[in-house]
Amino acid sequence: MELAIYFANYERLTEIDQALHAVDLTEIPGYLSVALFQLDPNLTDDVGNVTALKWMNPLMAQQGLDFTRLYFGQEFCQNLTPPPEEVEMAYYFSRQQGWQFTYVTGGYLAEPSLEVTRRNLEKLAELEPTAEVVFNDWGVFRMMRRDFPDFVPIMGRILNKQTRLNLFTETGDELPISRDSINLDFEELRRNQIEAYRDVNISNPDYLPHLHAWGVRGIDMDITPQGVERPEDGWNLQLGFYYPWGFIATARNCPTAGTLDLTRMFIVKDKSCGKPCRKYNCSPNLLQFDTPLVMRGPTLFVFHADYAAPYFNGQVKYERLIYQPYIPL
Amino acid sequence: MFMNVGLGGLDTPDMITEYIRRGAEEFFAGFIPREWLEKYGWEVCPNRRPMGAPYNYSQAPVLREVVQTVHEHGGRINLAVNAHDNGSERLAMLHDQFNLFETMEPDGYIVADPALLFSMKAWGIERPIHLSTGVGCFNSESVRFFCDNFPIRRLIIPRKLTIREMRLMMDGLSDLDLEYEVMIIGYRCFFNDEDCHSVHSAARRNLCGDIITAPFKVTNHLPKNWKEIAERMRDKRTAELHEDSPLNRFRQEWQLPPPPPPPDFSIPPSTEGLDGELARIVFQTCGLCAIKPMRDIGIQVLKVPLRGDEGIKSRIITIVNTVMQHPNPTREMCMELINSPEFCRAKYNCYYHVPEA
Repeated sequence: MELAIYFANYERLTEIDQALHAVDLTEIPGYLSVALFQLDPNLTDDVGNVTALKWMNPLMAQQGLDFTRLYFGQEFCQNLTPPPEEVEMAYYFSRQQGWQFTYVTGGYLAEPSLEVTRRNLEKLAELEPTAEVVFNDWGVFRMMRRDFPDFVPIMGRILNKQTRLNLFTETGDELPISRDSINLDFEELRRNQIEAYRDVNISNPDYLPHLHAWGVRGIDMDITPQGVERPEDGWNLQLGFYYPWGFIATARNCPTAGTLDLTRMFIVKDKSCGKPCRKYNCSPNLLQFDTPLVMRGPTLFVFHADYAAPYFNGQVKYERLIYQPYIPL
Repeated sequence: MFMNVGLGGLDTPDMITEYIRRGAEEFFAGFIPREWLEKYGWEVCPNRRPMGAPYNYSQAPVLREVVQTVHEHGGRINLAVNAHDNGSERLAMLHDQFNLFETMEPDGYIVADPALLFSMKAWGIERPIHLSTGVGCFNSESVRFFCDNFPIRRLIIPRKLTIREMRLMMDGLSDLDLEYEVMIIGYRCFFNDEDCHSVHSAARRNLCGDIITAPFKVTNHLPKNWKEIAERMRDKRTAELHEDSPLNRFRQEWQLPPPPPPPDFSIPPSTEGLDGELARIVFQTCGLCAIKPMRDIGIQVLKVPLRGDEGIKSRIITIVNTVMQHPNPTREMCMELINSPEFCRAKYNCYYHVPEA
């Protein structure tokens, strides 16, 4: 299995040593821990950093794994797409480490952002014409096939529409099922729904051959409580999973941007964003869910809890783990 | 420009006739047959409206009568099969549904899943395709990707594009024969539809409801040395309780300058016109002021979704039609139709940012 590490911008990448530094928070007395984390959803990112390291470090030690690939780029916010010079610096950082490089492009890009992405791909083609690129927008994919045919395309997690099951999180919990006009036994209905959610459109026999013909080499997914039904041949695609942060939903309107301009909480505007997310974060407190949820910028993330265990103990077969020391925004 | 109205399981042929009289020219509807419900329930839905019976037709004869009624009155109707992701096991049932739909001769299909589009091609379905917002075509290249592969007649433009971004995308597609449709009132998801991997269910409040009713908190990022401080807290607990301790200095640095308060999107009470919160419940979000600029850039279709909201549909159709038919609708005219000054004053109730409004 390959281990990749993912950073969304160069500033975070330069803090990699700090990001991988493990601290055992359970050894800090509660009254002091509150002084640091004060039960604030916005700090779930930092708590998640050290919690995930407690899972990652034994995995790496037991399986003799080390990072061999850098994922770099911005999936969720077009305003935060790194400039070409950052792509270049990140590329050289990965080379210095002896790692492979994957450039991650953004999802659902408006026309001007598509041009920004093109400039980054042009820079990447100068550096490594056969680089691996994660695409999260069909327009980016079309542009890659036409203008950068030597890049290795990986379908990103935004285009992969697996249901994230966030309303229930743990499959052991009772699902919110409407029984309106339905006679089927609850347990059977629940089982059928979970099986349906495990079955993704990549398995569609009318679709998969096109992905192969288009040269798609792999697919990146989020870990979900229900898991994913993958055939014996693994679709003949390399499969990667992001850990510890899965995304539930994202938007172009943004609560953090809404702290400067209230309308941005709900509406997209042409005027450039003041990027207050570089200083602070605005997240809802969603205490009704068992699993930590946090909104970073315009995106709602979930910290993968115990249901991630099969991805660490060998039960689930996959080829790449993409470790996110921090939420990639 | 014309209006496309969503139909739900409680919309009868008589009601549809009334919608047409009030200005609706086109409709869309979803269908979930009994055998599907008895296997998957509502939550695994072929068309993104899994909230129960009012949102979908579930009896083939009723749907057939609805299609006939629309056609008899000179209207058009498209069927929505726009789930984002259809696993392979569901394909057999979906194939059966399309075979049924074809006998009803709808005017087109609204689809979001590229895999299903390839299956429809394999099944020999040649009826025009409307690309659902669930496809997420935000740029001209992505629209072309689908036009390269399928008989696309219309693009339903995602809700979270500005009018300028729509124009740029449409300018890049001027050589293609495409229709453009926008959502204009109600059902503006908090998250992007195409980017929401949650599940709707009538059995609990949905994720979007959780978000807009939750208390928000704004917090400065932790200073970069937070792990160093955490280790001191572990190793030198008592020493950290003093005024000049690193922990105290850390907290002071962290909290300053204080972040702004969380966004407050409540609507002030007023005795003028319709209460603002009530207007928000009725209209949810409103894009009336955007109709003229959208018409100016070449948008042809206004979507009034409202599947499952038959109680307010007639009134909203009338309001949208009034603005749509007017050669030069002003913001004042739109506000008069909504009749809730406080609702309109709070710009976050707008569907789109209209700089001139």
